[in-house]
Amino acid sequence: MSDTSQPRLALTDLSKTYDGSTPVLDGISLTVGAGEFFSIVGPSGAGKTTLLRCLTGLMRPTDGQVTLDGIPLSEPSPKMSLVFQEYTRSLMPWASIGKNVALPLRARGVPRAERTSRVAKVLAEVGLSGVEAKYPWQLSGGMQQRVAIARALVTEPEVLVMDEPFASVDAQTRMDLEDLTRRLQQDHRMTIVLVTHDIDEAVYLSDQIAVLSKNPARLVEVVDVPLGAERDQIHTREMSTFADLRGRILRTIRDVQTQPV
Amino acid sequence: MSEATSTLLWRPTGGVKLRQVGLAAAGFVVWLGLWQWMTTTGPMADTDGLPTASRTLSSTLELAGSSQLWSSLGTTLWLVAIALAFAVVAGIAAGVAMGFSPVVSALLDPISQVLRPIPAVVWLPLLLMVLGPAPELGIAMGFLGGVWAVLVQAQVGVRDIDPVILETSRAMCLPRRLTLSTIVLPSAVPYFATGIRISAAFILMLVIGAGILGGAPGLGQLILVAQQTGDPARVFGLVLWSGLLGLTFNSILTAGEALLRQHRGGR
Amino acid sequence: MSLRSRVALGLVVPVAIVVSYALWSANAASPYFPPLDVILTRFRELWLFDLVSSDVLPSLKNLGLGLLLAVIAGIPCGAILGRIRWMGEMFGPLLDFWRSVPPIMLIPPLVLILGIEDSAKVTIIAVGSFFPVCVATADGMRQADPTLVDAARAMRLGPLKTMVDIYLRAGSPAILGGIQIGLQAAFVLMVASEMLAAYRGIGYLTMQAQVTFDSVTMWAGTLLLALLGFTANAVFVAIRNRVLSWHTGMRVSRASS
Repeated sequence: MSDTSQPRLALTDLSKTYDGSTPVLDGISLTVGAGEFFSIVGPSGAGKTTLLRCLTGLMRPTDGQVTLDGIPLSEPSPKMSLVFQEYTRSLMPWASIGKNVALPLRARGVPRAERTSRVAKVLAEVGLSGVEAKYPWQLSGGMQQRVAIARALVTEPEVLVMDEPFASVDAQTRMDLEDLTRRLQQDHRMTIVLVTHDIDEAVYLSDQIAVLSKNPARLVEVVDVPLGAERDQIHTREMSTFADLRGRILRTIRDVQTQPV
Repeated sequence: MSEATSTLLWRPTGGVKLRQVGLAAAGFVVWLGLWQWMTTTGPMADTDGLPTASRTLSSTLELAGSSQLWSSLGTTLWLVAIALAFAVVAGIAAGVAMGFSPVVSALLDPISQVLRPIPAVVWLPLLLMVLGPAPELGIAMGFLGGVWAVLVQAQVGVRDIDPVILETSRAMCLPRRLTLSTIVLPSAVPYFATGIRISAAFILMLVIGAGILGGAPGLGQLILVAQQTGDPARVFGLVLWSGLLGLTFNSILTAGEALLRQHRGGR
Repeated sequence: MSLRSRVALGLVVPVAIVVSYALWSANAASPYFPPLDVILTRFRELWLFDLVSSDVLPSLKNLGLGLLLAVIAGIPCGAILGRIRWMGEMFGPLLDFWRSVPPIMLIPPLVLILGIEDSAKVTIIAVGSFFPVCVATADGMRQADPTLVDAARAMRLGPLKTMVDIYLRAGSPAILGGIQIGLQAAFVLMVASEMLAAYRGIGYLTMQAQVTFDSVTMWAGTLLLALLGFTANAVFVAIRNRVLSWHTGMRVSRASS
C-alpha cells in the first residue's frame, strides 16, 4: 500500500455556489485514505451530486480545492473512475458491451489486442464472461450496472467514485452488487467513494461515513465503521455495532433536517 | 418523410431575450456583409448573374411595393389552400380508414408504400401535358406531394390510440360509428395537426415548383419570368421573398400545432 | 388476417388500375394516354440500355456527388451550430431562413450564375440538400445524454473522440433523417434542374417529349423517374436500418420492459 501519511483524496474547504443563488456546498473538508471505502450520506437534496461532480473534476468548485495524491484536481483524472446511477444513460446504446468497456482504453491509446484481453478479464471479474458482442439494452438492469462497473475498473483506477450506483435495481440484485463492489475493493486495494442516500448500505459497505447537512451542505460528522474487513449480508447486518451506527447516523440526519436553518 | 421538415432550429427557451435577437440579427448582417464584400472587391466581383447584396436588397424592397409580387403571393397561397384542403380531406379519410380497418389497410397500404417515396416533381410533365400551365397544375402537384404526410399521420394516430380506451368503449357496447366519432377521431386530432403542418410545407414548395417548372401562376411563375428576362437582382429578390414566405408560413403552422397540442394536452 | 389474404388484397388496387388503364387507353385512342404496351416498348427502347450511359448515369452521378458534398459540409457545420451556443444563436435563424426557401427556387439564381453544365447541377444539388443535413445534425447534437457526456469526460475522452463517438453517434438517427430529406431534395433538384435548363438527362428528355407532344416518350420517362425515386429511397432506408439497428433494438426492448 502507498504512503499512509498522505491521504489519497483530500477536500479542502470546498464550496459551490451557482450563479446568483444560495450556496449548495459550504466549506466541506474531508480526507479519504488509500484503500478506504468511504461513503457520503445526507438528506435528499443535500447537494450530494454537486459534491460528487466537484470531487471528480467534472465541475469546478467556487472555492476550495480537491487534491488527489497531493496534486490539485481541475479536470477528471486518469487515476479515477466513475459509476453513475443511471446505467441506461451512461452506457452507449449503439455500441456492444465489448466496445463500451473498451472505450476508456481507447481514450488512452491502448492497442486493440490488449484492449480485448483486458475487457475479457474485467468482464469475468464482474461475473459477465462472454457478453462482449451483446448490446446494453439486451441485458437486465443489474447486468448493465455490472458492465458500467467493469468499464470503470478496466483502467485499473486508484479511486472509484460511485453515484447512487445501486438505486435503480431490485433488492436482490442490489445485495449482489454490494458484495461484488466490496470484494473488488478488497481485491484491488482500491479507494472507493460512494455517494448514497441509503444509510444501511453505507454502514454495510464502508470503513468511514461522512454525514452532510442540507441547504447548504456542510459536513456534520465523519463516522468510523469498525465492522472489520469481511462483511456478510446477514451476519454483518445482525451485529449490534451495525444497528448502533445505523441509528446514530439516522438520528444525526433527522436532527439536521429539523433544525431551523 | 420526417417530422423535421418544418420545425425550426431556432427555439429560444424561456422567452426571447435581447441577446438572442441581437445575435440572430448579427448572423444576417455577417451573411450580407460577406456577400457584399465577395461581389464588390472579393473573388466573385463582376460574376455574371450574381448581383451584389445591396442591389439584391434594394430589389427586394422594390418588390415590396409592386402589386405583381403581392398578387403572385396571393395566388400561391390560394392554390396552397385549395391543394391543402383536398390533401387533408383525402388524407384523413384514407388514413383513418386504413388505421381503423385491416381490410382497407391491406387494400391501400401497398400502393401507398410504393407511391409515397416518389417525389411529386416526377409527375410534372404528365400533369403539365394534361392540365397545361394553369392553376390546376399547381393544385394537382401540391396535392400529390402533400397528401401522404396527412395520410401517414392519420394512420399512425388511429393506430396509436390507447388500447385501454378502445376496450372500454367495447365494454360499453358502443357501435363502431360512435366509437369512431367520439373516441378515435378526437384522440387522433394532434396527429392530424402534425400531418397538416408537414403537408402544408410540402405543398407550398410544390405549388411554387409547379410555377417554375410548368408556368403555373404564382410566385414560381414570377421568378421564371425574371430568370428568362435576365434580371438577376429581381431573381435573388424573389428568392429572399420566398424564404420569408416559407419562414412565416412554417412558423405559423408550427405555432398552431403547438397551441393545439397544448390545448388538448396531447403528446 | 392471413398473409395470403393480405397479399391478395394488396394486389387488388394496382391490378385494377393497370387493367382499367389498358382497357380504356386501347379504346379511347387519346393522344395523352397511349396504350400500356406501347409505353413499355418505348421504355425498353430508350432505357434498356441505349441512353443509360448518356442520360441516366451522368444524372445519377450528379445526384450522388451533390449529396456527398452536402453531407461532408453539412455534418461539421451542424455540429458547430449545435455544440457552440453562440454560433447556433447567431447562424441558426439564418439557416432556418435558407431552409425555408423551396429547393426548386434555388435553381433560377444558380443557373444564372453557374450555367447548365454538370458542375452547376452538382452545386445546385449540394446547396439544396446541405440545409436539411446541417439542421438535422445541429438538432442531433441535443440527443446525447448528459450522463453519457459526463461519463466520457470522466474517461478523459478527447474532444474529437467525444464528438465522433458520443455526439454524432447519439445524433445519428436525427442525422440520417436529415440525410433522407436531403436525398429527396437532391432528387427533386436533379430532375427539376434538368427539366428547366439542360441539354441531356432523364428530366430533360421527358420534358422535351412533353413539349413536342411525344406522349409515349413522356410516359416512359415518367415511369423511369418514378422507379428511380422509389429505388433511391428504398436503398437509403435499407442502409439506414442497418446503421440504426441498435436504435430499433433499444426502442423495442424499452417498450417491452
